Formats: sequence, C-alpha cells, structure tokens
Amino acid sequence: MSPALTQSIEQLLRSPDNVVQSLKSKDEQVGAYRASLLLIVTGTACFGAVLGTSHGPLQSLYSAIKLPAAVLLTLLLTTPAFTAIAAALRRPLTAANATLLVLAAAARGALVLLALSPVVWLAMRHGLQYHRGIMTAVLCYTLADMYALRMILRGVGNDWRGRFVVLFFAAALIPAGAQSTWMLRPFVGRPSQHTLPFLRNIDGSFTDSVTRSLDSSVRFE
Amino acid sequence: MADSTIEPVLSVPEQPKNQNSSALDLGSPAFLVERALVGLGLSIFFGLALGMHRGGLSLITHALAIPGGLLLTTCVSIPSLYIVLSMLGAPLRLGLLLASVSTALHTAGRVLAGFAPIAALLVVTIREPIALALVAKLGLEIAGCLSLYRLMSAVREANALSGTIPGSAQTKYGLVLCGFVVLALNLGQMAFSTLLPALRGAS
Repeated sequence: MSPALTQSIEQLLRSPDNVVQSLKSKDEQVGAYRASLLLIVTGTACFGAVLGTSHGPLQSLYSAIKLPAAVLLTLLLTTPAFTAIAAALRRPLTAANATLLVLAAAARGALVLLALSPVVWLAMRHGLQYHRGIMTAVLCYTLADMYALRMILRGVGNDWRGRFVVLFFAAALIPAGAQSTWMLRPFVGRPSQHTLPFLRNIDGSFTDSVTRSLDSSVRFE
Repeated sequence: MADSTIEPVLSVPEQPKNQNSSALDLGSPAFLVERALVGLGLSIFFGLALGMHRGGLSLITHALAIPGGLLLTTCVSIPSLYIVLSMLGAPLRLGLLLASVSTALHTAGRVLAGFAPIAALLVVTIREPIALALVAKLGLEIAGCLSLYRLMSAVREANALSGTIPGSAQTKYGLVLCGFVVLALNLGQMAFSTLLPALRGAS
C-alpha cells in the first residue's frame, strides 16, 4: 500500500476536517479521488461479501461486485442534486469540489461498513435469520450514511445553512441509495432459493422489502 | 465525535454583480429574462424524468407541465406580493422584485434538474403509480422551498436596497412575506395538481 493512500485512510479515520481542507488543494485532489474510490470499492465489497456468506461463496462474490456498483451509481445520481441544493442555499461548490466531497464522505461511510463487516459476519455465522440479516444491513447502511453526511456538513459549514444542505441532500440520497441497492439485489440470498441469480426481477420497491422484513423479523420471534 | 467546523470549508463565496447584495443578482432586463428562461428550461429535465414512468406522450406532457406550473404559480402569486407590499408602503421597486423572481426561477430549475437523475431512477424502477406521485411531490416541494428561500432573501435585500425601513415596518413586511410563502406553496400545489399528470393520478 502506497504511503499516500495510507495517509488518506488515516486522515479519513482520524481527522475528516483535514481531509476536507486538503480537498481545496489542486495537488491533493487527484490523490483524494483515487484514495476515496479505492476505499469505497474495498469497504463496500467487503461488506457485500459478508452479507452473502449465509448463502455460500458465489453469493458473496456477487454481492462483493454489486454493492460497490450500487454505491457508485447512487453517488453518480445524487451529486448533481447536491451541487444544486448547495448553490440554492448559497453555499455554492465547484463541480470538482462537490464530487470530491461526496466521494470522500462516501469513503468514510465505506470505512464504517468495513469496520462493521466482522460483526455482521459473526452474526451470520451464528445463524442470523434472513429477514434479520436484511434489517442488520439496513442499520449498517444508516450508520455509514450518518458518518458520511457528517463529513459533508464539515465541507459545507456546520451552521443552519449547512444543516439544511445536508438535510435536503439526505432527502435525495436515501431514496436513491435504497432503490439502487434494491435494483441490484439479492445481497443476502433467500434461504429457500436454490439457484443463485446475479440479479432478481424488479418487483415492489425497497420500502416494501424493509416493511416485509421488519414485519417478519418481529413476527417470527 | 470531534467538533465540527462552523465555517464552510469548500464552498466558494458567491460573486454578486452588485456589491451591496449577495442574494440579489442584478443585471440587465435581458439577463434577468435569460436567467429565468434557463431555470424554466432546466426544470424540463425533471418533467422528462417523471414522464419516463410511462414513456411516449407522457414525456412531453410532464416536460411541459413542470415549467408551466412554475410559470403559472409565479404569474399568479407575484403580483399579489407586489401589490400588498406597495400598499403597506414598502420601498421595493418593480425591477428589483423581477430580479428576485428571476433568481427564484433559476434556483427552482437548477434544483429540479439536479433531482432529475434520481427521479428517473425511481419512477422507472418502481412501477406503482403512487411512487411517481411521491417522487414528483418530493422534488417539487424541495425545489419550491429552496426557490422561495432565495426569493425571500432577494426580496428582503431588494427592499433594503430600495430605501430605509423603520423597525416596526420590518415586522409588518416579514409577516407579509410569511403569508406569501404559505400562499405560494398552496398555489404551487394547486397548479401542479392541475397540470401535472403524475399528481392527477393519470400517469
């Protein structure tokens, strides 16, 4: 691992303020792009692989490919909205800075997912039920999103304007992220399913699934 | 968790054309019209995204309904604001109000265009008609709130630029502006419920 990458990871973990400051420097922007993308792919791929463990190595492989794709698709779709919201609330960002900030925040979120991976893996090994597995994944994504949004708040300024930017951005990010992930499911794999499809047909939506899983995880107590 | 910074770190300061103003971007009438038209033009992308739920003619009807709704809401509500503020003795000049409207329309269009990719993803992949209505409402409400915020900031600054305002009058104008926000949101809801097939349940 290169020293620059190690430094980027250290900064994302320990001092996100420094990361945000460093994004202003043109020299550090390329390094930040690379480090953020690498962390997003690595962190989400590991978490995806862990989610698939309950259904064997092939499902793990599929999930490790699909989860980074879902996250990158979400970032691609939501960055224009973020730029527009920030400009509307008089916190304009250049396109490059907005993209970098969103990528760095997502990288921090991916690191949170990476940290949670062993916990989820352990729970899966101890026979975490399918619906509970989905609820656990949703909770992990929520936690990772919170850390990512806090970093965005540092970039746009932690006053009422900045908080509103983050609030409106969250209103765009949450449905887009949930639906992108939903489109690329399965990540966990149903226990009753004997074949492993790479993608499942689109029926219903993410909210239907969470409601169903929440209902099932409570009912089968 | 560590304390967050208060100052915006990455945001670049806006560059107003008028040194006395930050929210109000003054320019020639042609510039103001152009900016409003750019806003309306950008809002078409959100309409197109909503139209993807059904495709075909729906693309055109939704694409036209979004700028149409914005224009209708503006045309119906802004004269009331100008009349009431003028009758209450506010020093706001018409040219400055039009500059504020131009800023607000540009903001609405830009936000709607920013939401267009997300809207397209959601309406194409969720087949239930209620999803289309929810996506349309979410996008329009966020764009409405942000453009009204820009409009209010600009009107307040335009008012201040037009003349000195005593303290008691400021409260009065503030109340009028609050009333205007409620009126504009309701008018917007009515206009889009009438014009936008997604909100009429006839997607």
